[in-house]
Parts: sequence; C-alpha cells; structure tokens
Amino acid sequence: MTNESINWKEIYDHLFPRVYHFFCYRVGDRWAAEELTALCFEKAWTHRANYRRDLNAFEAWLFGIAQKVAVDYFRRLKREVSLDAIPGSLAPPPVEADVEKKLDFERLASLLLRLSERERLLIALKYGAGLNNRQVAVQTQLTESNVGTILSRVVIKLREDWDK
Amino acid sequence: MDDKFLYENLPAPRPGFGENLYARISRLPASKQGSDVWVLRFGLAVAIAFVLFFTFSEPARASVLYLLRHIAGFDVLETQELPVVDDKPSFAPNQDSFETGLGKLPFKFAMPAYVPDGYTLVNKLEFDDSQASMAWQNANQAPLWMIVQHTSQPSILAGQESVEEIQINGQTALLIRGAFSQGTWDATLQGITIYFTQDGLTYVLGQYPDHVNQLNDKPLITLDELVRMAGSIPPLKNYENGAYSYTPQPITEILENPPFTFKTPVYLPEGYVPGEGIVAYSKAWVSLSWQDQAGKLISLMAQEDWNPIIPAGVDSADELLINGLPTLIIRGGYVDGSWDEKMPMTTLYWRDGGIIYTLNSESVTEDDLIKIAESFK
Repeated sequence: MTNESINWKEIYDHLFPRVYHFFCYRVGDRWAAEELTALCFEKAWTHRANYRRDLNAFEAWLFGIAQKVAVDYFRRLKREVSLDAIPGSLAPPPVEADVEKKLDFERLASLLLRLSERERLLIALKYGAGLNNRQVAVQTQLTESNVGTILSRVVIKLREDWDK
Repeated sequence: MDDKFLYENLPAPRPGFGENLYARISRLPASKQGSDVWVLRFGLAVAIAFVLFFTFSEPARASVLYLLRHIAGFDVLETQELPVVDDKPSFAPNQDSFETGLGKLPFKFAMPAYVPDGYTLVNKLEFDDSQASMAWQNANQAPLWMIVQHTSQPSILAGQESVEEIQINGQTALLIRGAFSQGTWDATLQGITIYFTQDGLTYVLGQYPDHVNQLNDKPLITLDELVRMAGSIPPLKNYENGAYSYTPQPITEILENPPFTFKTPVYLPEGYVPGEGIVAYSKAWVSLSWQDQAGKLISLMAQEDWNPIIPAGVDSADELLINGLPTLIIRGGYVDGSWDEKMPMTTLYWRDGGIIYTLNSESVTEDDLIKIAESFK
C-alpha cells in the first residue's frame, strides 16, 4: 500500500471519536477532552507516513501519544491550579455529598473520579478508545487476564453507583 | 457484564469540531522522516556524516531541526525506526564480577547512593576501555541498568516526541520515555531513560520491559525514583572505592532547601549557634550540628523512617515520652569499640511523621537535651 492510496481522512474519521472519548473518560471534562484531542492529533498526524505499512501500529502509537498528553495535562493541572479552583466536574466529589441523579456524562465522570488512576485509564482505553482487552493490555503493560479482571470489578462497582 | 451505560453516555463532540481539526492538521507539514530514514539505512556512519553535514550547513539545518535536536547538552536523533547496520556492534564488552571489573576499568565513576527499594546490584560488570554497564534487579527480575561512558557525548537515537529536558541536582539532563522494540520506536512501552553528564562522564540510567509478557503487571520504578537515583550519584571527588565523602555546608543553606520535610529545635542552650550539616546523596538523611564557642556540639540526624538496630551498652537504654512520642534515651557511648557508661553522652531517638530523629550531645545536660527535643517544630 503506498502512501497515496491510503484514505487518511477515513482513518481520521475512525480514530477521532475514539481519541475524543478516551480523553472524555480520562480527564472527565468534555471541553478539556476537545483540547487534548486536538493536541494529540497535532502531535501525531505529521508522522503518520511512518506507519503507512502498519496502520494498526499507528493506532497503538496514537493512543500511546494520547496517554502521554493526558499525563502532561494532569501534571500541568497540579502545578498551575489549586484544588479550590478546579471546576466541579474535575474536583473529587465530597465524600458525603449526594450525587445528583442526572443521566448524562457529567454524572458518569464524577463516578469515574472515584476510581484509581489505573482503573480510570483502563476504562478510558476500553470504553472511550474502544480497544479490546488485548490492546488495552499492550497499552498498559498488564496481562490480558489482569485487564479483564480489573475491568470486570470496576464496571460492576460503577454500575452499582450508577444505579443508585 | 452490564456495561452498556459506559458506551451510551459518552458525549458527542461539538458539531464541526472534528472537521475543523482535520482541516487544521491536514495543513501541517508532513514528516520528511521517510526519506531521512531511507538515507540512514545505508549505514550508521553515512547517517552520522549526513547529520553532521546538515548540522553545520545553515540552509539545510533549518529543514531538519525537527529530526536532530540538541537537548540538555545531548544530540538526539529522533527516528521511529532504528537504522539497519551491518557493522559489528561498537560495544563488545569484557565481562567480570563487579569488583574485579572495576579494578580493570581504565576510568573511575561513582555509584548511586540511592537505589529503589527491593533492587540489588547484580554481581557483573560489562566493560571496555570507554564504557561500563551494570544492573540492579528486584525479585521480579526487572533489570534497572546504568551505563557509564568515558567518551565524547554519544548521539542518542529516540522516537519522536519522546524526549524532554529535566533537572538532576540543578543540572540539565535528558529524559526519554518509550523504547525501541524490534527496531521500531514504541511510545507505549513504559521505559524511561535518563542521560546526564558529570565529571566528564556520561551516565545513562534506565529501565524498560524487554517484553510485555515477561513482566506482566509488575510495576517498574517510577520516574521520581529514577531521578532520585541519578541525583544520588556524587561527584567523583566525593567518591572513592565505594565510600562517599561529604562537603559540609552551613545548616542555614540546608534548611532553605531541605531534601525532605523535617522538624528542628526552637530552643537551644545559651551560646549554641547553627553550625554545619550534610545532606546525603541519597536524600534519605540529613545531619546538622549546632556549636558553642568552644566547639562543643549538639548533633541532629533526621532520616527517612526505617527499622534501624541501635547498638547500646547493657542497661544503658530507657524510654520516655517527649511531646507524647515514645522516645529512646541512651546514656553513654562507645569508646574504642567498648561501651563506656561514664561517657557524658546522651542520645535521644524518636519517630515523628515518617522521620527518625537522633539528637545527641556530650556537652549539654540530659535535662537540656530533653528540653531541646521538646521544642522541635
């Protein structure tokens, strides 16, 4: 396959929503997710020609870039913003606060904030990025069975909280 | 597993956001890497010459600055694929036990004072005239390695967007995240490598999984641990035959920038003023002293908590409470290897907030030493 015969727009259309949704679950804020999606594609898109022979590797590499972009985002957030200044959707919910019952992303994001860093990453890769367990395992250096076990436990817990 | 809700509640991006983003990234210049890597494949020597030509040729340099970057004093060649080289590897090491190999090495280097918990040095040194390589391993056999190079700074190959500048003991250093896997850069591999120079040597420390399945989900060391390990390598003038020496500094300087948070006394007996102190290269302990005009000392050591075994003479140890904290008091000291209960030394040990404090003096009374300990804040 030559570079010219690849429909990069089609590939972008396939990857864009997955990257965006990855960031939605990873950072819990759809506006930040847009900014980080743009940053991720700006970093990655100029080098796509290197993966013209292996588009699966490009996808894996792209989500690797996405993880690093998220890490840099959290690092920047820690440096620049005090906890009090974080918008409500990003701050950890008060322990005793009632979570308002709204059937939308913000409620789900607040539940995700209660998870550990690793659990949130697994959810973001599986349900945001749409990776299968094997692909999640490669991204996170876990075994595939470990990924399945952790996700199963986390989803059950999230479901319980979601249904409350 | 009822996980539909995790798919159903994902928000849609704003209308037009995706299209606008694509329009923007489509206008970004495409990578010229393909043709440059093609050139590199004709041999590393040709590639270096090619790079040097571009480095010193002004018109061409501007067009390849994204490829060759100078970071933290290192030349970094960013490439997604390793050049194929037909030459034999430049490092064909000798191998020996660690101490024997050190004795044969034509240059000296210093060892880190801090190694992450659970790692022990493998008793093997690989070396030639210009570099030496060693490793530490933990129970999971994840190797943590260090290479010391006694040559001009190497050209470093790393994947794109994988390199950044950091600080090690106030000096710039190079951090690389990711690793080459089967000749191709893999940014998803959780490898970290640090390069820095000291005493004319290049130190390279790093860890990365050889293969995902070999390490399973065993955690690798963190970046903070690797930075701390790199930062604990002392200057050669303070390292000789495995022993670390320290240059004391005024304790006022130490207290302005302590390696960790610890308390100090507010009360001191009359005549005692701040003296000198030492910060361990491992950043795990600090030693401070106050002195009077006669040079008599009150000494304090603050160290990260661990389980020390404290030697003391028979019946010389007792327990009391200071500020509500159990405190060990030892009266006397060792003279020429033997316990002397008449030695006018009093030592207090206590734990507070993850720190072990050791306070002692031969020149103040026990009551005064306790009063000093009570004043810590």
